[in-house]
Amino acid sequence: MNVMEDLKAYLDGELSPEQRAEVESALERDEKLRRELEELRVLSRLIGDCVVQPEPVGLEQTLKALAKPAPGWLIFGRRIQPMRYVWVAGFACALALAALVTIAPRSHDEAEGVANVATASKAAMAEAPAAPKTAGEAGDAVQAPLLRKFGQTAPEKWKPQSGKSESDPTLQVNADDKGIELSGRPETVPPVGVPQQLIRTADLSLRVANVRKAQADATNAAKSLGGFVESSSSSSDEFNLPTAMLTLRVPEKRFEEGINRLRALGEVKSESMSGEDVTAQVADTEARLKVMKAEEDQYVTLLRGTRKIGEILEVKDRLSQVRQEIESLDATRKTLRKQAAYSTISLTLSQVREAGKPEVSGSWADEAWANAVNRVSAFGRWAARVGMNLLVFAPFWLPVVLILWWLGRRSARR
Amino acid sequence: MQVVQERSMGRGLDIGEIATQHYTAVYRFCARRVGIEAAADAAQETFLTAQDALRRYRGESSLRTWLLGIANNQCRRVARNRKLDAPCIELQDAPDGLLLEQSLVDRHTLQEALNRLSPEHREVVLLHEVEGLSYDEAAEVIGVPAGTVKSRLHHAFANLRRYLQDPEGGAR
Repeated sequence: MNVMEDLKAYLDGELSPEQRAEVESALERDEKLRRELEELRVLSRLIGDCVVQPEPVGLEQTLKALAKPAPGWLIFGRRIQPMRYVWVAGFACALALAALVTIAPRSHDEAEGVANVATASKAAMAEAPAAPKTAGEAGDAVQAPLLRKFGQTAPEKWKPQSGKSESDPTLQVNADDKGIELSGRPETVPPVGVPQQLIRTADLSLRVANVRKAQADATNAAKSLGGFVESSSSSSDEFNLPTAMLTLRVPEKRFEEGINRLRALGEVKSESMSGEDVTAQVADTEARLKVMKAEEDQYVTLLRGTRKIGEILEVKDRLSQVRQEIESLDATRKTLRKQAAYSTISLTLSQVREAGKPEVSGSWADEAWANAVNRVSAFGRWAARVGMNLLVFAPFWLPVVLILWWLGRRSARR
Repeated sequence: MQVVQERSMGRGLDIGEIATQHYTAVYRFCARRVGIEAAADAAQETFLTAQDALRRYRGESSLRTWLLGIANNQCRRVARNRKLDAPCIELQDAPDGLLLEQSLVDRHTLQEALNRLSPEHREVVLLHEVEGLSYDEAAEVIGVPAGTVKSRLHHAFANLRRYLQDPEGGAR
């Protein structure tokens, strides 16, 4: 025991009787210790005596405040100020909205599907190099300087109605022998004189008794409808049962019939269909083609009447450009027509497990484990999507939540 | 039976009476911790908190200690928000300039010595020497073991004495 360290506690009467006796015995023996004890006593009394004792104020206000019903809610003995946590409600709303946006989905997925088809058709159009976006642009690009130079007028180009841009994809064209007229119409109404062009696609997933046989039947069905098999692949699933994936193309007019015949091959697991009206695109491409051909004729005529080498080269150069445009537009038109003429059916075939046959090598526990892992993984993906939505929409909800948080703190301080 | 009595102890108490009885002690404690300007607000907040928490008061410590514990937490919050320093032990200016207790030290030197203590040491000096709490009560208010209070007090007084004996080089 260190008596020096216990001296203050001895002075304050905080020692046990044994420790006290020990300190007292040491004090009797040691003069220096007694002096130190005295110094501590003086110091302690000095602090206690000299300390400022502020005059209390505010008792009445405190009593009044205590008499008033306290603000906020008493939950489990703790007073909660709702304003202080209103930002939590704001954040919860943002989270719920993000979850809703993530879940809301069918229309979104469908839009995505249509977008994919649109992308595919755009990709087809892009096969030809740098086609101008509209007939007007194409005409302007080649005709303006050169034809004017030779005193020629370009073929009558498209004249959009007021308020509509030439590149507006919803505009539809009507071509006749004298030129091209442009008229604004909703995309859903097919242009007059142009047969409706639909790109239709379907995804069909079937469970069949025999995948090989069903694969052969589907191929025969496509052929008998006047279509063909675009691609075909086979593999095995996790239970070592065969599966097959086929991409069938059938004439658009026999699309429904084809779907019905394929459905009959087995039990439908899932099915989805989508369609895109490309009538306007086809009409647009054809009209542009017409304009370009008219220009081509004019350049040919010009070329015949030109004698100067420089001018001949210039006209030939322009002619070559126009011909490239014509080829590109022609390829686009053919691709669109082909896509519209033959609808696409993506068929997935999987085999039914034989009754009584044990389910693969794994036990029920393996399957349960796999299911659980799948669910966790699906939940993780969903949570990540919600998180991404939250992040993307942060500029909208974050300021609101911060303002609520600040208001809550302010009200709590009061 | 005793537990039931302890648990229900807070239910029979009137917060108005408690406030009237202990306001001065709580106010002074708050004034030393957060300054005169914020002391009334801190004291009022202490009693409002005590009003809500009264049903949980089991009588394990005295009401004063319990209230000072709440006040201590409240003052810490205020000090954190206002970025205030450690508690301040302010001594009276001696009107007669007399030295006390055998003229060992004057008040000015003692004030300087107190100001030089670390916040932890000053805190226990305040609770024990000024507020008059026992080691156990002080330990409960600041949430440390009683042995820590004893040790901190010993070191605080050692530092004070060292400084008072040699004000130039005896800090801490």
